[in-house]
Amino acid sequence: MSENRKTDKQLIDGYRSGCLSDFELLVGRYQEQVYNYVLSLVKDRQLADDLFQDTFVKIIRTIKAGAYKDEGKFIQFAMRIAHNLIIDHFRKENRLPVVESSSEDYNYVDNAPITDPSVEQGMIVDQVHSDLRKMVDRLPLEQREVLRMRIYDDMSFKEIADITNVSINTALGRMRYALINLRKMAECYKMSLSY
Amino acid sequence: MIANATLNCNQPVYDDTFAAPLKELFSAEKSKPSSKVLDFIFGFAGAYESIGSELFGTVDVMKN
Repeated sequence: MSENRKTDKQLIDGYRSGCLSDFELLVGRYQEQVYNYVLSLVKDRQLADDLFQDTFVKIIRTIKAGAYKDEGKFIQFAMRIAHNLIIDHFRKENRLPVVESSSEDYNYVDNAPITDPSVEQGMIVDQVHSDLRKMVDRLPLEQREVLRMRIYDDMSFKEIADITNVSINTALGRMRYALINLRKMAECYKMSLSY
Repeated sequence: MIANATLNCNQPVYDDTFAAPLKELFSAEKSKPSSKVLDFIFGFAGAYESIGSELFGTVDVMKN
């Protein structure tokens, strides 16, 4: 069987039996998803590297201890570990990220005439991304987390609830609040998200 | 803290206004773990294999 077509379970079983290359394939398959999930929440590369490393060390230990229960959801298992490590980190620092109200005005690109439409389009896209990033960063950690998992990672609310160790209703509620808050910020600052 | 509006169960959970731009934003911000971190992970995975778990202490001991 082609290496790339092995299922996660096969790769884990392979590693458990001593095949390191299977583990390398498994990491390769999910490293970006796990890393970007961590980075999006901690917003610091060095910290993200540390937590990513800790996540996979824990995964290795769990697999080797025979404690990994395969239910066909390795990525959720990995993200659950990452989630718990992130929460532990912020608790240790005694600073779960909170949204602070700010009177900062958003700066918008001047509407100076621009002769090249592609340059203008690029600037508009950059501005939308920049404004959106500021809005997302102002959300509480748990709302940012569910927003990313739902919209970017395409996870179901059941999967999100599983990873973040809350009920499905709580996950749904956090998503609703995230969208309510984004709408409020967009209205308050009269932002347009279309380009 | 942003004051959260009263939760309205009739409001959609999925709002198309933000879906596309958020997806683009997250895609544009994609990054990768450093090669040093990956080397450590694979080294740990391999060494765990050959030496055995009882010789490894906490993660802090293993970190540089």
